[in-house]
Amino acid sequence: MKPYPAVMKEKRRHLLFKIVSETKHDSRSVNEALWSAVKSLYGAHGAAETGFNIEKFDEKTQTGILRCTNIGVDKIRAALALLQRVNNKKAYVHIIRVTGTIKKANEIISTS
Amino acid sequence: MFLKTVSYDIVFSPEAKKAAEDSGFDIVFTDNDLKIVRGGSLEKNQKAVRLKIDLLLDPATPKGMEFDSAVAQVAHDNGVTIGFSLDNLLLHENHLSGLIRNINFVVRLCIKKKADIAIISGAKDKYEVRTPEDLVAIGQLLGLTKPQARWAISEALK
Repeated sequence: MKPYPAVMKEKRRHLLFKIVSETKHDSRSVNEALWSAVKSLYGAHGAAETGFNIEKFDEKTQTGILRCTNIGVDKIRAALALLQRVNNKKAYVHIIRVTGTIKKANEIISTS
Repeated sequence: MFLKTVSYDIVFSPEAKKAAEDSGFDIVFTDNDLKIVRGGSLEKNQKAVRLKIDLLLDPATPKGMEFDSAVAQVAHDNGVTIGFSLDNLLLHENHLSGLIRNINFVVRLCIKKKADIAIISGAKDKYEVRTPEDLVAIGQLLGLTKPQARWAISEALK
């Protein structure tokens, strides 16, 4: 089977985010909260269309990287803006930066 | 960095004002700076737009259509801005689908009658404050295009 030409491939974006909350959260509860925020707004089909996926989360700094398609960035932003609680504690997701590559996102995390 | 225009927000506590300024808004108003009326019922909305206030906040509820084209026309004629707050969306998280449907209806009427629309956070504490980019994304969720949503957080409250 022939591979897709480059113009047909979906373009990815990596969102560097930080959880601002009363307490620190583990990656599992953050994962659950972000997925439920996206799913409750768009459903499973909508979440799949945005290509949403959490790449990594650092429990020490409470920062992480999530991935989505370039057309899904605003949808993901809206869904995460509606998130109020993580693990029943008041919290919000602050999107620090949107990058095109995970390498750049990792660089920003390591420098900050 | 994000917009070359000035971005505005309205919050309802001093703690939220400081957080909003830190999150990237250029000018943050509190409820004391502007004449704001919170809408809800059709009578409230009609009365508010006739009084020539600055902002009619959250005219839509999850329950029913409390806004019509006549209210939108009077809002345009009297220069009343129709505002939608993120706080209202967070408050009705269990009835979000109905609320978004009704807000979409109000937004369509406001665009048709050329009434100004503003998107604000309406935060009461620092956990309800969002960045200007997040409010633009919320504006798109409510039925605006990206340029319209940008206008709604910058020019509408000038």
